[in-house]
Amino acid sequence: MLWIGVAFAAPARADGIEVRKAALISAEEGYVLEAEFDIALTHTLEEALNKGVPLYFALEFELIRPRWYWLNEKLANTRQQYRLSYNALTLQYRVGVRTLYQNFASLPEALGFMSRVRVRDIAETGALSKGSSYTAALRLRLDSSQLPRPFQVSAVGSREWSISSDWHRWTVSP
Amino acid sequence: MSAALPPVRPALSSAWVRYLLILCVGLVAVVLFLLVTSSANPASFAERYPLLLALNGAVALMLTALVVFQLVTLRRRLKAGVFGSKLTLRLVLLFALMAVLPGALIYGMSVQFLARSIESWFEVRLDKALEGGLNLGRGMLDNTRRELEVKADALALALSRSAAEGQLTALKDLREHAGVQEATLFNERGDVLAYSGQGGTGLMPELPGAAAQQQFRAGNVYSTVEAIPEKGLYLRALVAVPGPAGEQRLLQLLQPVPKQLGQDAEAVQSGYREYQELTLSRRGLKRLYGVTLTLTLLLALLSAAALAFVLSDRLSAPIGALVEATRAVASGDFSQRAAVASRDEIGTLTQSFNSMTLQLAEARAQAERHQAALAQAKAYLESLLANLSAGVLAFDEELHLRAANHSAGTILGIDFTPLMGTAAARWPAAAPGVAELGQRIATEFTRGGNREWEQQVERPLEGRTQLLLLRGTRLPSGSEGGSVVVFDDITHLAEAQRAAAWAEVARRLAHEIHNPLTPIQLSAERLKAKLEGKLAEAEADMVERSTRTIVNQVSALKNMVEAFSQYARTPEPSLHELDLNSLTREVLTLYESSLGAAVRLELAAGLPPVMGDAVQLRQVIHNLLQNAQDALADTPGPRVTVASDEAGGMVRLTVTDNGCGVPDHVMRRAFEPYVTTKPKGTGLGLAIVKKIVEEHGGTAAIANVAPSGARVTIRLPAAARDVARRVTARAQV
Repeated sequence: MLWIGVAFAAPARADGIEVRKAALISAEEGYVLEAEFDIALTHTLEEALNKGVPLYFALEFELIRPRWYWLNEKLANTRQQYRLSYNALTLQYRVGVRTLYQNFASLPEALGFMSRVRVRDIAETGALSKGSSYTAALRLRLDSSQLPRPFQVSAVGSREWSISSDWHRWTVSP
Repeated sequence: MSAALPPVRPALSSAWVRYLLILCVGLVAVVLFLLVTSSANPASFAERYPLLLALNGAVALMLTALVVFQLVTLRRRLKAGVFGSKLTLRLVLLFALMAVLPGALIYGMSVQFLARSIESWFEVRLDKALEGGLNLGRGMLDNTRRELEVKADALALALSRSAAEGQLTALKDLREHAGVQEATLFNERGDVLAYSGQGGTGLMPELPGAAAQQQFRAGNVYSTVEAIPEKGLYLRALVAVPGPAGEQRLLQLLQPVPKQLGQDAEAVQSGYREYQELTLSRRGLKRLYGVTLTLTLLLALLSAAALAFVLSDRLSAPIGALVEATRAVASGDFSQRAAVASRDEIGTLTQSFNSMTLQLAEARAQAERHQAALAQAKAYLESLLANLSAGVLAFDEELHLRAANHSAGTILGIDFTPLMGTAAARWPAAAPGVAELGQRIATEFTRGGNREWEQQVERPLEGRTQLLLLRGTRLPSGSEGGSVVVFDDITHLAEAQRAAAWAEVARRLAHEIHNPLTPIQLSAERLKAKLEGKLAEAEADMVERSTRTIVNQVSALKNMVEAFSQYARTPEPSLHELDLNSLTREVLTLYESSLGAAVRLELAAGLPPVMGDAVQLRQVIHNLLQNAQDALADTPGPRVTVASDEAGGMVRLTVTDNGCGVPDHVMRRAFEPYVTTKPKGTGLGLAIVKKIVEEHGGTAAIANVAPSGARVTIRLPAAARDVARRVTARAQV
């Protein structure tokens, strides 16, 4: 495995999402994104989660080649959705990615699982040519459009209801 | 006048404001409709709501700007004191009040109602009941989990006794005996040693996760309730199976929660979740409805305010137009008509006003026509009077001068302007030139009463006597009484009449006297011839003297008759260009012997020629010199000055002597025939001079000079001017 782009970010805030580490790794079957986040839910979000409201998170990744003479070329655009929910009956937290899921007895465990991300098939091997430099951008945010409707009204312009990491960009040069 | 007044109606609600308002109201309707419908439509809500809020906000801003603009405009108009703006303000306030009061009431009610009804959804009892249900479910699940744990313990004990070879059968028997769905035996490394499951659960056993194993190690027993998607709730129990060789084995039992129990628990849970969702979102809901309501109220109020401006403007506009039209009428402009916009009372009022204005305009036009006709008539009369050669003076009842025409001033040679309003009796004091005239007018009117009178007045003018014929009339004492005096300068007429009379006398005298003269002379000569030599010397001498006397006197009489007839019939002059200077010198040669050194010549050089008859003009000069010579007969140191010059297109010739001069009583009539100071003169010399000069278009004048002597001046028109006048006349023809 070859680490071709690693980025370390600033320490986490009190609440919100921060990218702690992000890297694009060239593997045999293609490029793999590995990233670590610091996720801290706000009090309101945690309360809502514990009352049974499922929270949806969206992981968004872009890989572009900057071109000064034309629009930037978009090589990869990946979006992955996480569903974090709490089962009041069994007192378990569950994280679901696509059709897969995993149960956790406590919230920190569930968040810890979510904060370590490994996404395969970002791009095929050889899609990135050597000698060029690419820009990778990554962010993880709460998808407030998936919240129940009344929350969306509250979420408009409210920091309590929307947590998101900034776009984290780093340069990749294979 | 109208410039000082404030403008009545500037472009208040220009068309674009109205269009903007219509646009805004339309936008408000659309946006509010979208907001309300999307509140009820969850699918499109999320994307649209912020956009709709922004749109609503933008429209509200537009409306606010519009209202502020209208307010500022109204304020400016109020400050400028524009008529109708106060009414507009009152109407706007009224409309706004009408919009705000019900709006605020409904808004308050709605908000209160909304808050109450949303709060009423959430009750502590319901909360507790749901919590209790959830706890019940949890308790049930806990119980079944413990049961499974007990079963697992029992199974583990039983398994520990069985040999390793018979594990699978033992496990199967035990599982079936215990009534568990799935039983798996595996070692610490996770290798499955034995598995037994009920049909349909799949071939592969479900292994516990890493977290479960960790917990198990901590307490040697582990059980949990798991929700497996598409399978419902499952119970999982892990126990250690003591082995003979000290090797740790694990037994996992997997048992679905009874179907009914699972469904009920799930129902309780979902109910609880939904209730909690609602509880959490009530603030959001309140906010959503509150924002929608507030926006609706705001937009409605702003639209109402903006509409109020336009409506008030529309209501007060006809009044403003009426006021403007009234002002125009007051300042005399009848052309403005207020536009009739409505069919209500204001429209009727406007129509009445318009018809009134029309009538006023017609009345004024008629008055103007009459006035113009009067002015024309007056101007006609005035021009008639002005062009009248006779002088006309108008007096009021008290004989104060009211008007005088141009000819009056020209004839009298004075300006009547300072005499206006002066009584005729006081003229001698005010203007000595017309003293006799004023006095005569005053006397005649006082004496004559209402009858017409006619009088001749003589007055001196420029050294001669002017003869005026006055006719006075009292005007009928109607609207404007007073009297009118019409007068003419009849000096020339009188002179002409006198001259004609003299000419007739001269002609008759000449005729009557001339005829007997020749017989008288012949008879005297025959008497002398017959008696010659027949009488004694003394008688003969007496006859001789008497006869000579008779012949001489007859001869003198003949000369006199000759002069008379010459005066009576002066022939038509035949005009030629003449040099007056050379003519004068020519005549002077005849007087060289008699006057000689007494003559002084002051003839101007380059004198323009005059048009005249040489014979007649010679006669004129001759007469003048003769007069001078006669006047100087007894004067020591006689002197005669003959001068000529040109002035104002006239050639002037003066003959001045230093004789005894002319007495005043003779001076005034010096140019009339038979007026003479000389013992021997016929008195025709100057009369002939005047006659000839006037026939040549000139003038003659006589005056005394200081210290003694007289001067006769004649003026003849210069030929150049004469010719020019004739050329002009020809051109005009």
